[in-house]
Amino acid sequence: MKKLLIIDDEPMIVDVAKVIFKDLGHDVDGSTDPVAGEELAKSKDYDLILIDLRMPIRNGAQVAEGILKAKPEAKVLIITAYPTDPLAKQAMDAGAKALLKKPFEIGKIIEFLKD
Amino acid sequence: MPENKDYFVEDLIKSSESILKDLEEIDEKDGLIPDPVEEKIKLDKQKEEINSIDIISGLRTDGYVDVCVSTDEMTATCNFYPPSEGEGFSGSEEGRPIELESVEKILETKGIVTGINWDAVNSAIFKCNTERVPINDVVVAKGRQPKDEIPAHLEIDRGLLENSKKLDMDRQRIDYREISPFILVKKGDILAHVVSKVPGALGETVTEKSIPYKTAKIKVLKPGKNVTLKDGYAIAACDGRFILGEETFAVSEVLEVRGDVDYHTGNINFPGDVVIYGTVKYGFKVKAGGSVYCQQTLDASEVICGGDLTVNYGVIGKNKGVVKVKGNITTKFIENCYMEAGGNINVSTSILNSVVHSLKEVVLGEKGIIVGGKIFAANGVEAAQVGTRVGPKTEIHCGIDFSVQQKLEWIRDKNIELALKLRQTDIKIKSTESEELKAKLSQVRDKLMAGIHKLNLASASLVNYLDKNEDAMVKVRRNVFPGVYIEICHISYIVACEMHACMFKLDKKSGRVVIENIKS
Repeated sequence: MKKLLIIDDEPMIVDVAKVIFKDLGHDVDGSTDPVAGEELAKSKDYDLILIDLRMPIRNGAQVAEGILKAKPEAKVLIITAYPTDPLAKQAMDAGAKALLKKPFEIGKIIEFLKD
Repeated sequence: MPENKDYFVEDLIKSSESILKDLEEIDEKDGLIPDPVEEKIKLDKQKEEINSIDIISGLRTDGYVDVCVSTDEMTATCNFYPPSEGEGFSGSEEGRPIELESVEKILETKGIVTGINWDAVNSAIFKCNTERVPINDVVVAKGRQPKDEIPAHLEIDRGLLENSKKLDMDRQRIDYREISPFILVKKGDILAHVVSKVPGALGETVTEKSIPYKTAKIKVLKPGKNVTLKDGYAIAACDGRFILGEETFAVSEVLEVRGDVDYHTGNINFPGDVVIYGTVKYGFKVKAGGSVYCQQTLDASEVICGGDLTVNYGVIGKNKGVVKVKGNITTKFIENCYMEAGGNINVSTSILNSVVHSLKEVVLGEKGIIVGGKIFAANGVEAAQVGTRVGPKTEIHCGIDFSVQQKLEWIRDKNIELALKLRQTDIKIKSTESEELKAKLSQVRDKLMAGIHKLNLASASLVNYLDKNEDAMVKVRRNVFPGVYIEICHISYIVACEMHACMFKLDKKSGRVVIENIKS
């Protein structure tokens, strides 16, 4: 069982991800508030953190930067509709591993949870 | 009181005296008839003949028959004349009716022995005798035409020829693209059957002369390529196009379209290879079991083939074109098209705004550029240029089997649908007070959970088939521009600045995409 955190301002996405990944046997936390989510990621250890790129108040690149600054070894994946979004580049530069196409890519997440 | 005259006796006396007067001048001793009498005899005879038409009503005339035989002696016709009717007052007598024996005799005299229609003869005799009217042009005998000899030959199955260009008139809308002039057959289909020799038969005239028969002129077809003869049938030895020539018929494994694929040809659906010497026009489909060669362009069309696809000019998709090929694709350019290939995709000049999938490599020519769209290539991509300074963004995904990826995406979508339903169900369960409804909703919830679980198991299993090729790389011989998105085995990289002659590959240790310089 792996520990997974999803930070997305859309509650529906967080709920759906929780249902699916819990069913896959993982422990899933979710946050619709980017600030609270970032704090959660810093305070707990997660095997994989999924962060939506476009969020109000604090965007996904900033959240990723904050988390990776505190925990450089954290495995962060960025959820975005457009991989060519400049913010995606910022998140990647901060140390995110990969981009996930919205709403998320199950295959990719399973792969990262395996590694 | 006037004396009653007996007109009959008076007439008899007068006529007798007249005859006797004619005899006065005849010398009874030497039997010589004096000239004036002989002249009178001649005149009487002429008069008799001139008035012969009146005799029928005036004197007794028997029924009689004329016979006429055609010049080719194939028909004999008769005119039947009725006997005179008896008229007591004028003294004419009733003629004898026509008798069958007399007709038999006349026909025999004329040599008519074959094909006599006795029913017609009897019927004409009866009608003529009873109705007292002439019956003309009665065909009483017909000769027998000779029968041509038919040599043994192969006859093409009629259904086969009728199956081309077929319209379903019951349909309210007819898609004329679905009408094809090509006759396609499957291995084992019956193409033709053997027609045995039919011997000729001599003909016969009504006068019993025999007429020789001829040999019928029939197109004798020989079985050609991919046709086998078995048990009196010509059978297709392979799937293909039925070709009917002047002297042979065959099955071709290659379909040659001498012009464009358009309304003249309809959509193509062929089990073998297809060679198109023109363009596949907008909206038309080509489906081939083998390879497809197109000498010009694919114009917003759909092409599906089991072999390789070669397009001499290029593929113009207009955002509608779909190409799915099991083998390799080779073309000059691809624009605004969706493309899948089981093999390599070789493009000499450009791939513009297209979604291109390859289970092997996507390789562009010396100056080949990729601009816009998405490229998925399991073993990597090689191009001269990727992206532009200001143009649309380009995505390149490598190291993954796109077909598995597509299945995973389908599972993801279904899973999300189920999870959303589950969320709604949970909300409803919380808000309802009815125990009965809660129980029902719980059942629904269980089913939804079971569905999600099933899909999750499938995706967890499918991930193993992604066939990750961690050695896949993106090779750019000239320039790659900022904004280009590169993903190798799910690891992302976004090009930040213009780079020249470089290679993007996966560093397995760090789990990151790294860049190496190459010789341009």
